[in-house]
Amino acid sequence: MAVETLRPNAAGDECNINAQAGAGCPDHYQNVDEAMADDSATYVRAYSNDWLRDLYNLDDHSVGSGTVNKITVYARCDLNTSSPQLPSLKICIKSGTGNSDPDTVSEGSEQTLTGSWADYSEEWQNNPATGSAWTWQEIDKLQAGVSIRSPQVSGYMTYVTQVYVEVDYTDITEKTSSDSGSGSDVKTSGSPLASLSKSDSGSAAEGAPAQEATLTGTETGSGIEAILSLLGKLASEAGSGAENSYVAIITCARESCDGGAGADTSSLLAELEQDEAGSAVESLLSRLLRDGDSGNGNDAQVSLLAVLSRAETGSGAEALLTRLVTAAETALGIDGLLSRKVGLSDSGSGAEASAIYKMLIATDSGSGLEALSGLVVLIPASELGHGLERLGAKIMTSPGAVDTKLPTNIGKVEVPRH
Amino acid sequence: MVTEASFRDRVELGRQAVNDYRAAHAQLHAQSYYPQIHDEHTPLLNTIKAELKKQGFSSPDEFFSASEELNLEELGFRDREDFEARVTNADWEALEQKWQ
Repeated sequence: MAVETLRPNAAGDECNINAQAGAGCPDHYQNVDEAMADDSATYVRAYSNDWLRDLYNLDDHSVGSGTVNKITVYARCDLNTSSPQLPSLKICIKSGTGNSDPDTVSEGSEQTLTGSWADYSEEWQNNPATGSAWTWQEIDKLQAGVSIRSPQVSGYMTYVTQVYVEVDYTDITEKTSSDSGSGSDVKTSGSPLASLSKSDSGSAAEGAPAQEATLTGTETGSGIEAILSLLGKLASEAGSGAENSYVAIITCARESCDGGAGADTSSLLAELEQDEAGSAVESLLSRLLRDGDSGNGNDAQVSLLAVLSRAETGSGAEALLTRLVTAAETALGIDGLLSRKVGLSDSGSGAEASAIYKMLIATDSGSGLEALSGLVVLIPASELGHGLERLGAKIMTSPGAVDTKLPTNIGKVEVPRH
Repeated sequence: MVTEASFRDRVELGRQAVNDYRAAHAQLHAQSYYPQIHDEHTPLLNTIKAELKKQGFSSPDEFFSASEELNLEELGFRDREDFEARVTNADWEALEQKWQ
């Protein structure tokens, strides 16, 4: 709640009070416009038995805004008798509709005054001309004044030295990013949505809409650039809205709301979801893309590799790899993995995998990849078939052998060709 | 030797101070209206209060009561009570011609 005071600044539509100290009609307003009342120094006065009325124009409002709750008109008055016999004051206003000139005079109740200077007042919650709440246009057009008469049948007088209007209003403050309040703090009229901008750095409910607006409002790239741009926005999201924004992106992508050209987000997601018709490595990659990762680190990879085994129908090395992947691991390291392969039957062609592994196990006393590579060296001596022997050859001649710490002479072993 | 000013002299000097205030007040309003004009009455009002205090009136109200008392004495009444007991229309008209 706030109050703005408006004082007389010009003659109004009526100047009928028949005496004064100071300016005469039509400038009676000059005798009642002081911010600090000067009492008997300047005033208007009436010694008539009839009611005499003055109306004064008022300052336009300058600081008030929002909703006008009511107006209160004050008049500071006195009598030249301490024994009034009649009411001698009615506070008045003249108001209109909207920006039209005022056309409706309204008088307050008749008031009996005391024999010394005192303030009297009258309230109007609604504009009498409209029957509705005041508008600021109507406030600016308002006139206020008094209707006074003698307080007795003889020549006693009523004096008025000050008239002013207080406008009681409820201010409205634009919502800003620093506004941490709720409820009535939120702007309730005008254009509330316009005040919620991308500059809103709030959290929770305030933050999420602002973040979504940023994601959709600034994305101008295409293809991969588009989705990377969108994802990049998430980096600055520090609140609980990160999850919301992620969901918003996925939702947007699924609903093809990305307006970029080329391979936009929806197309990329469609690629991930389509059925893979390839085989071997192509199949693996396809399923890596599609399979939902619910584990951590290597768990996810193992889970994905396991999918491969279900579709693998190859032979030789492919078959070996399949079985390696599908086995349930209960030991540690590659030693454990290899040892568990020994008991499996090789259904591929060429070298029997089980026989080879039995040989390997018989001589293996090392650990890790060193042991594996050392054992694989034995393969070329007896293997003449397809598949696995080629795998061994590839391992031994690979430049990557250095990385796996193979003995240097292993890389020089001759591999039988057929 | 300091001579104490008479009651009449004090009231007359007070009336002159009020007249000065009213003249300054009119001069203030002779200018085009501006929003601060309401507050610019205040220094003038403080001046008149200071002048009245010099004449022994502690407030404007005290001065105006004294001024009315002088008016009634000049019309042949002892005081306000006597005036209200015997006042006629002619007295009202005569009072209206006095300094107010």
